[in-house]
Amino acid sequence: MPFNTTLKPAQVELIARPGITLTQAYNVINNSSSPLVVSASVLPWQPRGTDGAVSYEGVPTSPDFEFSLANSDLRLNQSFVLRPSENRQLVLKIKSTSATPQGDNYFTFFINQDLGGQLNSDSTGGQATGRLGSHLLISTSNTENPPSTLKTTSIKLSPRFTDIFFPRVSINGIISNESDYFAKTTGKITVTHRGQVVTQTELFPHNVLAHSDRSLACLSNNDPVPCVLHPPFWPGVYTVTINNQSANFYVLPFSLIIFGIFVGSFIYSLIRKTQK
Amino acid sequence: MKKISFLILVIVYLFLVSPKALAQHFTSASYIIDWGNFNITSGKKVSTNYSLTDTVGQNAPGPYQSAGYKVKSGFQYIYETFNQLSFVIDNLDINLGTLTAGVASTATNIITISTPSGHGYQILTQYNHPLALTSGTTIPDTRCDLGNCTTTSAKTWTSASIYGFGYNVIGINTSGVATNIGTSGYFGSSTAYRPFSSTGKVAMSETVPVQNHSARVSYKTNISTTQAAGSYQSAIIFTAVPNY
Repeated sequence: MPFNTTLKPAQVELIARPGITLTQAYNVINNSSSPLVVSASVLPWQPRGTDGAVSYEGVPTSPDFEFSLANSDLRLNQSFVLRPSENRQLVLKIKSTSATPQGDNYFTFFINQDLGGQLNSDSTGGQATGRLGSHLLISTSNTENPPSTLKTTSIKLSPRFTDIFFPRVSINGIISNESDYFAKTTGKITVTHRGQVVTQTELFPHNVLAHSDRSLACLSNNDPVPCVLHPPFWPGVYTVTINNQSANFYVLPFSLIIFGIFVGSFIYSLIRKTQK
Repeated sequence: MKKISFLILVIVYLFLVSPKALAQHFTSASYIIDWGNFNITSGKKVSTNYSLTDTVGQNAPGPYQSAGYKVKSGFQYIYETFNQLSFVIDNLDINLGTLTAGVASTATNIITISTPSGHGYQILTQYNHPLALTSGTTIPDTRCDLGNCTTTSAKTWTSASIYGFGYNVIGINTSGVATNIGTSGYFGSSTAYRPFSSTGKVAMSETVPVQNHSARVSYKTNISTTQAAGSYQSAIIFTAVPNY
């Protein structure tokens, strides 16, 4: 029997005043041909690393938020059956206290498969269960546009010395958010050579959470992709600028020099042979 | 006068014989739904080479924008963003069979994930407890050949004299061939194992959006001659979440 489930939306971003009650509808779909026993729950998380990963370990539950289901026949952590191909709407009620501090809180709304019975005890092994989650990014603020400040804290170019024909140059950077509210990366990567703009690439609008860092990515067909510059390059100094921060890489005609040495050696050997 | 009478007759006739306007009106014991327009056809149509979503007959569809507001009017926009997470475990029954001392028993299943547009993912694994009999006797977690694997660091486990319970996750393509995509940062090869943890540990992740990326999960146990006989059980939980 498989676990085959879809949860949508996969992420919700909310701005709310303290003391307000919000509702968010989720659709959970059992794509399998077997009934599925599931329950819903909510857990807090914090960002881990700079790639958008999350961690649930040791994250305290916020006393300022209460979660419940608005569905009349369901509660959080209560098991219910999803029939084969059933698409069930769950409405999550999010209530914050009037004392909720201004700033961000991050949660995941989980759909948990319940075992719904004893494990198979005929042989050694066990039962796998699936769980999938949708993130909730909640900014508590009295203003419609809570203030946030993003800063490019590092730009790393690899390699820093390259040839005119190869390899490509990777652009890695870290965007830091020193404010209390998450924000999306904006702006462009601008590459200049001898004062001329060679190329400009838009940054992918990744979320940078409050007081955390995020690796930047470039935008391509609405998706994030690694930022790379493809050769050929002209010899000289290239400057990569992201939001007022810059770094240089240097292009030298290594391949032309090696080719010249090879051709020169060949001609020299020919001359030596003819002189003999 | 005759003309006016004729016109009135025509209007009356049209009201009487014209078919009733079929507004979309649905009722149940708890709900009444009146649709705001006369939808002729709508939905998602798929053929071998094409996919078409349509709504015909809707009033005033399209994007509208002013300072501070953006309205996307029309059912068509429900298809605009792909914001859903799907997760599949092909087989929930992990059957390691009857255990024989010094002979590794294995079982596998396949996990598959599809993420929303713009988001990567993490898949975390954990167990509720080590493989255990109802009496409480357990098969210990593997420590791998050199005794150096942990719940977050997989190491080679091929020796028949090393006992325990562990797992390996390796990214595969649609043909089932190992690619290690998504898992190379956690399991270097198909012989690298690590023990389960009682808290979620990342076993597979990618930073870019994916559609139907799969991995083969291999469960392995090897017992010593002193291990009590019986059917050892554990529940394994796979948690799939998008990157924020």
